[in-house]
Amino acid sequence: MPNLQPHSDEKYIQAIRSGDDRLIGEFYNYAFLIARSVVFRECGLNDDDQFKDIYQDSFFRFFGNVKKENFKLTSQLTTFLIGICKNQAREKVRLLNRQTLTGKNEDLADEYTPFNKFVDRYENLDERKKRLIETELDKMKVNSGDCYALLDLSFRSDFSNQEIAQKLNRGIDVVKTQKSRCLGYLKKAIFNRLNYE
Amino acid sequence: MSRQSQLSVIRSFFLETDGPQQRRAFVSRLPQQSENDLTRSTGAELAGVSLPGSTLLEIEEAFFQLPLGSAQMRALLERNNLEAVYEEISRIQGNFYLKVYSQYEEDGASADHQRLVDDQNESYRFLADEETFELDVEAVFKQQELILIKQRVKGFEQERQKAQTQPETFTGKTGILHSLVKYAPWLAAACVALVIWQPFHAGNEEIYQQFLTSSTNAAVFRQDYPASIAPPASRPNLEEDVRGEEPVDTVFSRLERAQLEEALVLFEDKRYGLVVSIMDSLQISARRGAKYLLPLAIARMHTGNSEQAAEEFKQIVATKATNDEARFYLSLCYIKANNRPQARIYLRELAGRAGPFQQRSEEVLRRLRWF
Repeated sequence: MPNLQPHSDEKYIQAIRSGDDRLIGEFYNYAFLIARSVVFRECGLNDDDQFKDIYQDSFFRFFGNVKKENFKLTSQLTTFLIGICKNQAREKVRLLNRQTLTGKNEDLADEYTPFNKFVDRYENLDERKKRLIETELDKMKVNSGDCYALLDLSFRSDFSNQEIAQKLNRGIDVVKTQKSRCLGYLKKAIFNRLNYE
Repeated sequence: MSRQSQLSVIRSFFLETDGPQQRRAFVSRLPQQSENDLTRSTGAELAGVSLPGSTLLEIEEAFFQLPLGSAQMRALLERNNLEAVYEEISRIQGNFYLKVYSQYEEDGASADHQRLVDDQNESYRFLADEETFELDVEAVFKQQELILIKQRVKGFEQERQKAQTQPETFTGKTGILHSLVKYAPWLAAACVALVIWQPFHAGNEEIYQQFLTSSTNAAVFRQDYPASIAPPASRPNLEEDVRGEEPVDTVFSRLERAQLEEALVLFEDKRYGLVVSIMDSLQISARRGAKYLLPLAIARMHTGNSEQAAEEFKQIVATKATNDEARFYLSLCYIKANNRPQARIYLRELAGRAGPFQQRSEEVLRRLRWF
């Protein structure tokens, strides 16, 4: 069967990591119909609206996984996405069947999300603290771009100190010190704000 | 204001004023800086509160009245032992702070202060754990990322739905294929035109004329027929290869043989019309002078009577299975008659075996139109 995927898998992975929305959108559209036909054929689902929800949810998980630098692709990118879709669809069908039996409503399992452990932490975070951290991070973004970039690489993109050192062309010890210092600045800024706002 | 001048102000305050009114007047006469220093010396500011001016003044008065009540202080002041006065004042200040605080508490001022202290303690507790703080910051980053990705995925879905209502656009390999699809009717039309035109193939008439002219080689022809033309040497020339054929010398008279020889010479001179008329007058056929049937049929082809020529070639082919020349010319006759399938059968047979017509047959097959 000829491969009609407009671009190569590597190109899409790069697009996801670099944030090229045009290419990501293209892949989203390309994989949509394939995933739809597979899910409808193999997972006992035949509702378009339900599939759209599943596809979005799966794409979100797929996106989070691919974005990680240590992500290793062992199949085609489409196959990987469709695999997530199938799991989600089967889980959905299972829950729908159970709901029919028990009348209970349950959320879908969240097995693929790389954010899981942080979602709970964020939910349980003190509202005031949450707000302060967010505000001070926004300020840091404007006033101390380097610091913010370093924390961003570390916490958002999940780079290790070693990887950050390579990316920024600095020593690993320098990165560690800078990270610690930046966290210190953030902490101090939050402390001042706590006392004087 | 130096400590010395501060003390001198205090001294003046104590020694030169008498009663609250005078002291208030004294304070109001002081320059702003001095007033501030005097105020600071009471420790009110250090207590972290701000009070209205009148209240502050009352507290100042209360404070300075304390040393006035002390005989020791008065004596020190009178002796102008300012260092000792300062120490005494510091000692009294220490005690005074407690009184100020207790008074603030009564006024409700210390509740604010306490809140401030409590907030500070809370802040320290809030940020105390390094690891927790780092995880919290990471959780905030992750949450921002999460929201961002969800928004983007939602955006992709909206774009997809929008694209469904708009003409489809493709990029990459699909784009190229899709752009080709637009030209598909034109491409198809061009292909059909090429197939109909068949630029590398020739028409029936063209092939017929070309190969008839080039193949009628007298030398080739004569190689096969010298014996038949030449008079019999020692024994009669038996027509062994044609069934039921009688020997030429018994079929034809001497005159007729001479006529046949003339016809062959005329054939070499490509005067095909005369050849046909001579041979027809001699009633050449498969049963009578079969050897002369081939030149006769070829001569007929040259004179434009390919239908009759084809019949004669068929007779030769039927009686002499290995006659390649007759087969080749018969195929040309079929081509002329637009019966290409039948022509192809003979041409393929000739092309499949080695012989003088193998190459020519291949060429005719190559040039023959598909339909």
